[in-house]
Amino acid sequence: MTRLHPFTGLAFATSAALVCLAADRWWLSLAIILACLALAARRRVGGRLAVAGGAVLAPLWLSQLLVHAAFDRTGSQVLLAGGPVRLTVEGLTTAGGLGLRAGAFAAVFLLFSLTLDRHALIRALDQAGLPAQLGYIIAAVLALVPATMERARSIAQAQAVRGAGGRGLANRLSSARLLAVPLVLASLQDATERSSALQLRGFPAGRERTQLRTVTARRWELPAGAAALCLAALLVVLLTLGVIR
Amino acid sequence: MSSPLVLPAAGTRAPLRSRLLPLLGAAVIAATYTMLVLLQPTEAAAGLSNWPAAVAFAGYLAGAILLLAGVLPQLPVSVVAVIPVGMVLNIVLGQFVGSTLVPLYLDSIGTVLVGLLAGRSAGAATGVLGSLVWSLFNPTVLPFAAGAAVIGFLAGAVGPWVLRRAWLAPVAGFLAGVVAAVISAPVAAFVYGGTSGAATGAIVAMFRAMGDSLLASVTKQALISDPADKAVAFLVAALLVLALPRRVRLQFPLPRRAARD
Repeated sequence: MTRLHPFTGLAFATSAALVCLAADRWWLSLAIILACLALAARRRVGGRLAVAGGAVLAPLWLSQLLVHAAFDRTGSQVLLAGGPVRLTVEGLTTAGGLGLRAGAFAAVFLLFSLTLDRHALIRALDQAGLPAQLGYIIAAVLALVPATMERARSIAQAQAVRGAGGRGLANRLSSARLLAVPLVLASLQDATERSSALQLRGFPAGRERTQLRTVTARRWELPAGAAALCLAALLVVLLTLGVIR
Repeated sequence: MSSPLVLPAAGTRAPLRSRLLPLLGAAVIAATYTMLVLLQPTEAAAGLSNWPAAVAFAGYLAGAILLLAGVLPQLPVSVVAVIPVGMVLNIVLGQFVGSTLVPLYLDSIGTVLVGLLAGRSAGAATGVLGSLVWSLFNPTVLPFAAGAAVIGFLAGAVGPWVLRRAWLAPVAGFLAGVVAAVISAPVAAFVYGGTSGAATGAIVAMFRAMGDSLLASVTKQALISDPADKAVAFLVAALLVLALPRRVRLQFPLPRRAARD
């Protein structure tokens, strides 16, 4: 299956997120979540979307349940009451609506992220004339996260062999210091070396340099992305002004 | 960080666009906050109004991106090279702290570290970019980009003093946490209807049960959690900078200035 241009996907995701936030209709949020799951299943990332979404949203949902449902003082249809706890139908409805809205918001961006070719995004940012620094920083972070995690594991293992660590707050703080200082030092040392290499190669060069890879959008993608964003902005304005209820 | 290998042309100033865009971004963030606070929406029990969520998301994100667009092209390569390190340290150290069951987030140590090493612009850029890149893994952090930018900016602003007197770091972090809490509370309240964590949600629920509005409850909770978190983050970042060998530390502009004064 051909991938969308990264900017088209970003435009669709942003439009869907804006509409679901502005409309605040539980059925629309649910429809967006189901559409995201169906699209993810079609791209064979349905399981990853469900797991990542669950991990991101579980604490948020629990928080919304506590804030709006568990101690609701204003609702009239009480389901459960005892001590400070007062669970009402109105509170559960509010928490459920907010939970679905947050779920739709997270689902559209997670779907975009899981189906994104990150190298294509960086190339597209560069092609669009955005500062080369932006593409470099995104590429560097995506490459450095696994490398730094691995380095942190190696340092922790080396310190464990030396007998560092143990129980108690003092030992925990000591092991955190023994991990953090060499990790930060080594990372900054690497950054210094990368900085010299980048400057030697004339970074950020002008746009005239030879491009080894180009990312192209199909003819319909640019107008479709722009139309989605304009439509979403119009809907937000109409909902804000109360023209659509 | 080492000086650029190419000397800058004499008398060059940042182009007008690079001076205007950060100001415009800050103005958009301030206007969004003012609008949300002055026109507080209806209470959650009656169903949240629909406009604040879209306004908080779009206004804060647009302000943060304008700020980034003005700042990023002006940063020297040596600073651009250190920004990814700060962003990765946010993720790695934040995850490590999370695994030790310490009841703090500490996911802004890298942002503060870059601010203390390279200044306000680099700190603000690290905050915004950190939120943008982290949102590829956790989209719920996306609307908090403006708050992260403010933390980085304030770290750079207080850097010269903090690096001379490390005991000032928790004080500066505490004050930065108050500012961050005030800026981030409308996002948490109107976009997510509370907070993003269960423990912080329990504190918000307690204030709600005492009769406070949603925005007031979330702001009070943020004023409890954020100053303590940022005080620790500033202290840890300052100690990390001071623990670096002098040879490495003095390659960066703020520690160099602190050592000179």
